[in-house]
Amino acid sequence: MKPIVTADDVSRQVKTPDGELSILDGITLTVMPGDAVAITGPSGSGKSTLLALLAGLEDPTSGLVHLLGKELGILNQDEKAALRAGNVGFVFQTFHLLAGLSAIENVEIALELAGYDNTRPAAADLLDRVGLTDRVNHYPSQLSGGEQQRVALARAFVVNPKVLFADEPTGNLDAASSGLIADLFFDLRQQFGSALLLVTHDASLADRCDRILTLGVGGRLQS
Amino acid sequence: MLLFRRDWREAGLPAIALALVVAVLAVTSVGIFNERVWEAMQSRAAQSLGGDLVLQAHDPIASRVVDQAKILGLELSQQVEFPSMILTAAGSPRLVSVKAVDEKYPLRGTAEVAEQPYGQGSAAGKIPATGESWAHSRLFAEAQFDTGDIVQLGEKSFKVSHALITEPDDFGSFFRMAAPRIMIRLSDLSATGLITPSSRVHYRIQLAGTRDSLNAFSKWLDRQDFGGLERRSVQDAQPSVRTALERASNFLGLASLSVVIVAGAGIFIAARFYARRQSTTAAVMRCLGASQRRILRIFIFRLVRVALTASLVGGFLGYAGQSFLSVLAEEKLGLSLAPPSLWPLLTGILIGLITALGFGLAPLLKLPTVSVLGILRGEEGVPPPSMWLTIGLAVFTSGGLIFWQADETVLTLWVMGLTVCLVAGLTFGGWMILWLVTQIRGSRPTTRYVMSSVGGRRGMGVIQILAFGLGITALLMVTVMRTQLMEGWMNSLPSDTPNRFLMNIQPDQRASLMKFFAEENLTTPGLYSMTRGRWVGHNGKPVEPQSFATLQAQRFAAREFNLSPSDDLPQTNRIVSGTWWTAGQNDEHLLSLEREFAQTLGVGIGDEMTFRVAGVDLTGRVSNLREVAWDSFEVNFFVITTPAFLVDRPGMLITSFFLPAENTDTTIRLINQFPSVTLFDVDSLMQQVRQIIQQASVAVQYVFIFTLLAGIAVLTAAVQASATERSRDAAVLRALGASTQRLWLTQFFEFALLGAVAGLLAATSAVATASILATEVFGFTLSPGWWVWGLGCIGGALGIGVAGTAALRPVVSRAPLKSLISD
Repeated sequence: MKPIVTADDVSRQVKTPDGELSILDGITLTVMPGDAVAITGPSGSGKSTLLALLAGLEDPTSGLVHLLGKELGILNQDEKAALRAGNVGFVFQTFHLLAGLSAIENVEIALELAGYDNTRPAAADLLDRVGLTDRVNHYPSQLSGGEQQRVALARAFVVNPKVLFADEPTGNLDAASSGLIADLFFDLRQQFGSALLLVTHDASLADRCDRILTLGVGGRLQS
Repeated sequence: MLLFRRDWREAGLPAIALALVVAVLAVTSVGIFNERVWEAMQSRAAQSLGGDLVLQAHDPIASRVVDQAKILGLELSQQVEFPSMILTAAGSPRLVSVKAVDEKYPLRGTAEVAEQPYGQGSAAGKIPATGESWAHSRLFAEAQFDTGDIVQLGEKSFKVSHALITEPDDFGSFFRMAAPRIMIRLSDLSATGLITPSSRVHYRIQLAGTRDSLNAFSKWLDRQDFGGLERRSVQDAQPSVRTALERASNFLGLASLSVVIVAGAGIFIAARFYARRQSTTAAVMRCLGASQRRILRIFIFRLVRVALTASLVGGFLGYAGQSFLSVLAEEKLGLSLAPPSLWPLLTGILIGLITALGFGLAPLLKLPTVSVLGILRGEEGVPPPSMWLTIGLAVFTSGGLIFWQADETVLTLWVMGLTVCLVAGLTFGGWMILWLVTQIRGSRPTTRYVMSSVGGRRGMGVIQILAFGLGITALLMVTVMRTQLMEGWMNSLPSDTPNRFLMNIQPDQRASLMKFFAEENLTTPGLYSMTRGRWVGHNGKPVEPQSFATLQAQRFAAREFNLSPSDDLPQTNRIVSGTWWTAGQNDEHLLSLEREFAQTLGVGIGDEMTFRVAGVDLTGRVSNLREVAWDSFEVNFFVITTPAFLVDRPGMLITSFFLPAENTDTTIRLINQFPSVTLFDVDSLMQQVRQIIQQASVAVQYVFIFTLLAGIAVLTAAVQASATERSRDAAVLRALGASTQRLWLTQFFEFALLGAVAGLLAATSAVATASILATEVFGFTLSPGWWVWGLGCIGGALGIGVAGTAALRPVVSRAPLKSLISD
């Protein structure tokens, strides 16, 4: 079985007025299909940067990242986008729904970008599974935070992704909503069998993953 | 500069600064350019006076006047004009109008002479030599002499060296000049012995110089008491030239103010964006205990600081930029432009500040009342500014600026009214169309994304449509002005416009003259009867010329008018007040007056006017006021009467006709057959009017460039205002797998849709505005083609689509994917 995601001695530095600052330093990891990996660490340890590098949203300063067997460093932006379409799902802390589209259209657009036709039934089905049957035509501004995150979950899972990148999926929600979303999130992951890379501060969420990677100050992997 | 650099880093302020730089750049450039071209045009118009200012009196003009003019650096030319008789070897004595001129004559324009009467005139470039004279062509036939012959004027003999074809300064008086002209040197005048204390003489001084010197001289003159000294400036020049100049001024004024309005729309958008981005700062300030007044003061101070810096930058750029335009204008128009003054620069900077506050203040006013709780919850934004306050401030500001720029009350009111309608129409129309867009169902999600991005953010979409719509309206307006309005104006003066006036035609010559016209293949708009009469009574009271406040009114009241009876309203006239008489009223004694003439004399509809005609007093009632197209070169009258008013009164006929340049023999045959008629050549006058139209046309094209720049500023502001949201959306789509091409297309179609809607509405607005302005302000009917809508819609879609997508290039090509992730 081939790994879904690998990082090989990946580092990331940024320039600051005081010189170069190391965000990540020599990260090496492997994620196999179906694995659930939590990335934790204190604020500023570079965990979200690591997630962005692994998903091909950012480029490392050095080191190699492979996603679905492809080396990201040699792909241009369009090739990375094509690789993500239909294979990768995202769940963001601040939802990032498209304000001009209704709930179902937000889900459909992921299917369309993945090359599917007749997107409506699948999108409606996913919204039904996240409990938003009555809210399909609502716009993001007409939905609560928890409901918006459910739409985001439907959008992420509707393409049956091989890997899911989640960045603090419950970070913007109250405690009650947070628990419900977390349950829904892990249930769906189990149903779809996607690999998961989850950035979180929440120990209870991290505990629900197969492995926990902890980043320390300076972006070094501690465990 | 340090503070400006700090402001520059504040999101939103750069957009305000950019919009202001463009606005002030445009206003300053156009202002200086307008001023310089206008002065050059005025200078050309001054040719019909022979100078920028003319002073005239029945007594020798006081030497103090000459001294003061010299002190102020004005150029002077002196002339003496009087009626006298000439004697020739062959003919009988003839009445002539003698004009003695000094060597500087004329200060503006040139006299044209020919070797033979009615010959092809060429610029004289000098005045008659000592002992020589130039005689009007008509005099050659009347007095039976030829060039080289000797004529006796008083005690001195003069050789007639040339035929005088035109004088630059005879247009103002040619209808009144009954006797043909003979011109001699001023230094020869005393030898004639014709000037005695009892002579009926006009002493005249022509003056020319800079506007400042002329203004200073006029002010000095106002403070003196020179009884009987008449002043004539370009404003009093021949109505045809004055009307053309006024229309040119309207064209340029209207075009330049469109730049101001468009820039204002850009500033409003940028200020709204700035306010939205500053909402967190305002909320934090409130949490820290700052009062609402203090918060407002801080943000207004920032706005003013940025406005002042940007206005200075724009002003100096405009000052530099206009010199480039002026060089082009000098080359293309052959105008010699005066050096620019600093006034337009100061005006531009002041307009920048006013525009910044007028259009940018409304969004900031909501900042102190921003919801702290909302902001702390992470909801960025401030409530939209009050619509009434926004519109009120914008209308008040644009109205003030329009008035300042156009200096025309009627034009200002029209444009303000139309602007309000335009804003309301664009807002309502935009809202409706965007609502309709959101109702379109069943398309693919990315198409829906484009539709719903436009329709879903309807508030922002409407503002963008409003801004784009204003910009496109201004561009279309200038385009329509460049083509249709200019064409309409040019068409009002076709190539066969009458270029000869024939006066003093006796009623019994009518038939033979019409026969002559038929034989020579000449067409005439018709023969008009006219009778001379002096205004002696107003509403039963005697008219006393000295009782009128203005010199012009005194002149009108003291002279005789040509009264013309007519059943029908002349084609080039338009009733502006009252009604034209019906067939049933032809027996009544009714009068129709030219509007400005009536205003000058303080006469209104319903007033009674008494005219003394051949010793008989005739009283009529004013039934209507007319606007006269003086630049139509048709025969026009200040006073038209019902046929009954002048029945059985002695009168003569007047007509005009077009004579092709090559038909010089026709003139000679006409004068030989009808020696008592007076023929006037108005070709050079018409040429002046045509040149003014061409100059205005070229100037409007330059203004078009600035309108385009202002439009780009609006687009930039609108793109910047929505860049954050678009950038985030692009990042989400990119993360979900969208290709660059798809992102480009998405942005393009979104902007193209906005552009098409704005263009469609703008075309309607531009056509309505141009049609109303053409009819109400410029005085002719406009029939714009469908191309305006096509250009608005397609041009708007392509222009906004391409420009908006290009402006968002950094957003699309470097979609900030990292921004989707927290940390």
